[in-house]
Amino acid sequence: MDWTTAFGTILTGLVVVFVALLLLILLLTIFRNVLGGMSGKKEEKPAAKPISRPAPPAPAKPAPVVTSDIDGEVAAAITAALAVILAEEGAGKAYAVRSIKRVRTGRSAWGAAGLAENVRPF
Amino acid sequence: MLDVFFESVQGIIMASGFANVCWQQIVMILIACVLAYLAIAKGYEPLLLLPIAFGMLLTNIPGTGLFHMDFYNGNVIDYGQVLQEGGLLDILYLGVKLGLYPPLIFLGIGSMTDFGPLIANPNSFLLGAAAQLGIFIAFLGALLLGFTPEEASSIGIIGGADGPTAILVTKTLAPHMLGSIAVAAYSYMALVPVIQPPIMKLLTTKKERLVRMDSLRPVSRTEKIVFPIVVTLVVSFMVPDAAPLVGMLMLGNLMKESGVVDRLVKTAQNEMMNIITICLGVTVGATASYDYFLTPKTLGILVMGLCAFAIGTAGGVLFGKLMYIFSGGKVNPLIGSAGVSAVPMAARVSQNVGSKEDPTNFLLMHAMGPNVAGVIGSAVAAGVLLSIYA
Repeated sequence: MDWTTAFGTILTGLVVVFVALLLLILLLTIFRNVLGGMSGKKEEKPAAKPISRPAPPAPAKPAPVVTSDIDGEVAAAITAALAVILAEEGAGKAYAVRSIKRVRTGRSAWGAAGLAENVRPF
Repeated sequence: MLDVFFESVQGIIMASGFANVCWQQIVMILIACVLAYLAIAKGYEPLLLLPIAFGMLLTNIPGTGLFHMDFYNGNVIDYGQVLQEGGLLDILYLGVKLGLYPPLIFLGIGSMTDFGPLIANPNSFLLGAAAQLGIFIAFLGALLLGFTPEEASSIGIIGGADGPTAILVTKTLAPHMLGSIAVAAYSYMALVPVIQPPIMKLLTTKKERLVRMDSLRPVSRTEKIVFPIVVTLVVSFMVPDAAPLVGMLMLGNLMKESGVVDRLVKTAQNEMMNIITICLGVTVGATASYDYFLTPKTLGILVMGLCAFAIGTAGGVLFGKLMYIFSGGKVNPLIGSAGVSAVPMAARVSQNVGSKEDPTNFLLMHAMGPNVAGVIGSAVAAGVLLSIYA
């Protein structure tokens, strides 16, 4: 057995594997930065939109919110999220949040959805 | 008339397997039945282990003429002889010998793999590279056991935990060991949940296993489309011998991520992958005839294959510990073990070992990065071995 060749093979193998994958890290990082820069420029334009956009119409009269186990801050956050989504789906329409009920305990629906989305491919 | 009858019956009996079987073939048939049992009852990599087991069973039935390993042992293959005198499995084996099946399997794997976790955290590539340590240490161990460098390369590549890669390297460098190496590779891949956890626990502290990693950033579609092109170019330019595997893997992935060839993706993921899996499994199993399998070398292959897996796991975990130190405790070393490929089993093992310490800690997506990096890493390692010894 030619041990010089054997150890040369091991050294070559490890070095080539690491160099190839390091090169990929480098290229991916550069690409991400370039893409991040481009998307950063793109994002600047839409950022101005909410300012120019007319504010979503407020409900005619504040509706009572059922908040037996939900505090005011959470209710405000949910209402704000709904306002954003509903303003996109049907601009100009008026909505009123009349009740907020917790549908289940444990992991939140958003958490469960996020987990399912990430784990599904595997 | 009776004379003809008796002569015919005698002829049938003399030509039957009962009259020609030897004890080694019976042992091989029993081994095939055990492998089939493991695939069916225990669920050990059944998609490949079952066809492998049945191919092994078929090739050890005397007198069938289904497969002739001798056709493929010479330096030059007489394809005319294979086509004229070969059996069913000889013809199907051409797909292995010509190096068609493994890259096509990789095409299917690519069309099913999400490289998002790796793109989101490119440092995972380092863990995928570190886990290839097992390949080269097992290569050295096999040389010490008296194997030739070509055979040692084929044994070492078991540590890549990647069946098609192991088959591609072995059919080129040591075709006479293909059956033993395929059985070892797929058996150990099935045993990843048994082999890895003790090594992972031995090499990590409880504090390290409890590390919660930051959520991965979302990856854009553009990044996912560019990734397979970049990987193909970089790896194929550096190690052209890895191009068939990496190229097909990335073609499958590009088809998936492009979103414009759904029909092709479905074929690659399902029908094509299934057909190739059957052909690959049964023909690789057929190479395990008793005269090639029941040798002391098989024992050496099994021992060194296990070492390759274990050392690969240790390499990944130890590099994970390095990353834990340099990142200021932000990297959980358990994800390093997933660098041995065996997608997605090894990533699930990282998740399971981590969740035993903290059931609310989700490491799966973090482990998928090194896991798919390991596939690329083992393909590069295979390319290096092929370029040196083929």
